[in-house]
Amino acid sequence: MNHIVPIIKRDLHIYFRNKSSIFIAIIFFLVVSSILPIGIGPDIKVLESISPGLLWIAFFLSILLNINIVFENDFKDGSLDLILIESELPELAIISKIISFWLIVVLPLVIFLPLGGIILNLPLGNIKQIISLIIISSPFMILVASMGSAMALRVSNPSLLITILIIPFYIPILIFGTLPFIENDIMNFSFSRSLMLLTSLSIFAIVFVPYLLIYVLKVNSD
Amino acid sequence: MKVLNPNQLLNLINKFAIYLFVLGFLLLALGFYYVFFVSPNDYQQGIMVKIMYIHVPSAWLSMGIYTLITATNLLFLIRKIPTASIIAKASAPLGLIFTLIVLISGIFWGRPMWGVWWVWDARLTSMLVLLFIYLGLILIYRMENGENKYAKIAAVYSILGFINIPIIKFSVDWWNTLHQPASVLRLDGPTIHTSMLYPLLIVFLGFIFLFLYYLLLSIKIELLENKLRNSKAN
Amino acid sequence: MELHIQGLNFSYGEKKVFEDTNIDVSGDKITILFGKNGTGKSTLLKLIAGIERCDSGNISFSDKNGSIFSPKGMIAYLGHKLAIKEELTVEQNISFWGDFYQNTPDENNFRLLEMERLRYLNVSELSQGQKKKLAFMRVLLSNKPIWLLDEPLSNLDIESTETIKKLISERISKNNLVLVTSHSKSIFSKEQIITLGN
Repeated sequence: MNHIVPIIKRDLHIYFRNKSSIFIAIIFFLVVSSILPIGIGPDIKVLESISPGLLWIAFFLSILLNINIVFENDFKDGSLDLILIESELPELAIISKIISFWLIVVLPLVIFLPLGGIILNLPLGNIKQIISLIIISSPFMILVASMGSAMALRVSNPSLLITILIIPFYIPILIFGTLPFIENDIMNFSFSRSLMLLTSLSIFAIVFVPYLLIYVLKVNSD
Repeated sequence: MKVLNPNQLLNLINKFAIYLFVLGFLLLALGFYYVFFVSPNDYQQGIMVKIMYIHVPSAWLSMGIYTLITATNLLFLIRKIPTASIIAKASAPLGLIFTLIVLISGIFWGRPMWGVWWVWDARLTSMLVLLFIYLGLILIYRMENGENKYAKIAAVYSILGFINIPIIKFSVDWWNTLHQPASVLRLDGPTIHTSMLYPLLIVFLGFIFLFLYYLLLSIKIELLENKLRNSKAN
Repeated sequence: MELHIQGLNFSYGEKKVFEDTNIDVSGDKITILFGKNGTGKSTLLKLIAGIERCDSGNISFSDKNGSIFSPKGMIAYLGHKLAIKEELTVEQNISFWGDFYQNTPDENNFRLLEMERLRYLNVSELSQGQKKKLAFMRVLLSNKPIWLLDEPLSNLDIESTETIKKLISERISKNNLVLVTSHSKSIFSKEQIITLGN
């Protein structure tokens, strides 16, 4: 219990030193959100109909291409080994690092999600709902992405590999997160149903992924 | 488990692998004879239905191989048998090939039937996901950096990806979408006529033996490479 | 306290580093793992610390009464990678470790190791030896009974070497265990030497 706050404090300190970490995710997100409409063309109706998926995908990519920072710094100077062997509860220590990443990358992204939605011409009525779905599935997204980061810890340019490895596992989130908002013949997939599914996925991830993370991190450590 | 000792495995492979190839080849020859000269054309699809005889066995094989990979990797992680990891690693590219065959044959079959090259229904999507997972797995296995760490990581990844297999199997039952529901592997027994079932099973067996043959060859290469590295290091 | 290693097997990729190795260590002397480069000194330390997993074998600790206990949370490890944050100052690193280990830093140590005037400098501005001393301060701060130190005296000047030798020697007791890797022998007055690599 006692490790959580010190680790988060220290991680925030270090992230703020490299100011680019905070801003690069936001800028990437806005850039991707901006060029998609240009590629789709002038038909506003078309853009509107596919905007939910585009928002999710822009968000995914912003996470996946940045997730390597969650363990990289500590791995390089041996602090990761320290956390793994000398913590009373390594699982909690790892969760603290996940929380740090969430605060530094996900929180700012979430703040800019509405802007992304507007750029993509997402119907205003839906923006609030989609954003809440994204927020509620963010624990799942971060935890699964950090599994990818842990697996690719020793690779020199891991971001692309992480994206390839983890995107298949994001597909259910993408499906659940967009079905309530787009035209489809699949039953009546309501927002609240989606909310329920995504929440349970996040809870499932919070409970089980830390143990897997410790295993993979230990395999890769040294 | 004794057969998983590297030297004994090499002996076994050298002696018996060729028979697997012969058996597989003969079975496939028999199967295709059956397909082209005996089994009927579909009254709706005409001769295109014959693609099924490649498409369906390949699908069974792509999922079966993934299951094999998951099982051997579990064995590797829990019982620490190094040869199990080698079997998984050698199977992955073969599984990828069969997955590609499913998707490509499916495209060529579906185009005349449905009028489109691709459709985002549950089974096609989850098969595509299987393709990506195979690709990811192969990428991890190529992360070789002189130590054995990638083998364990690949094992974890393959086990996590296994969740996709039941989704593929049951996707056509859960969601009524474009792809045809199961006709063979059903609790009530196959609904398909024997004149089509038999060639299907023969081709399937032929593919299995060919897969085993190429698997054993890949394992042999891997084992020999390991031997070479061992003698260099010691 | 004693450490018993039985039947240790470990390979680094294709190279077999330990084959059915048996080692016994006791806490009433400082144990030096001695050997040339590449004989597995650092690896052995990592195996004991739990950073690496052995292929097979048994590593166990027993207390002064002889009963076996789990070393979880009782090990302080100092490896080649020093586990100090270059982006932060000396003071910030110490304060983090204080919170992490839930101990208050001993002001004496700053004086003993001549780190006082470096206190508010960024770690990136320190020399190798000063970083080593800082890393050792973490080990002191952790106040753990088992110390696994990989070449703790490397990069140090003469005075610092003596200071740290003294601080390590003070750990000899029935309740502690200190394992150190080194290229030289005869460093401590009470020591047990285990030579690796044949």
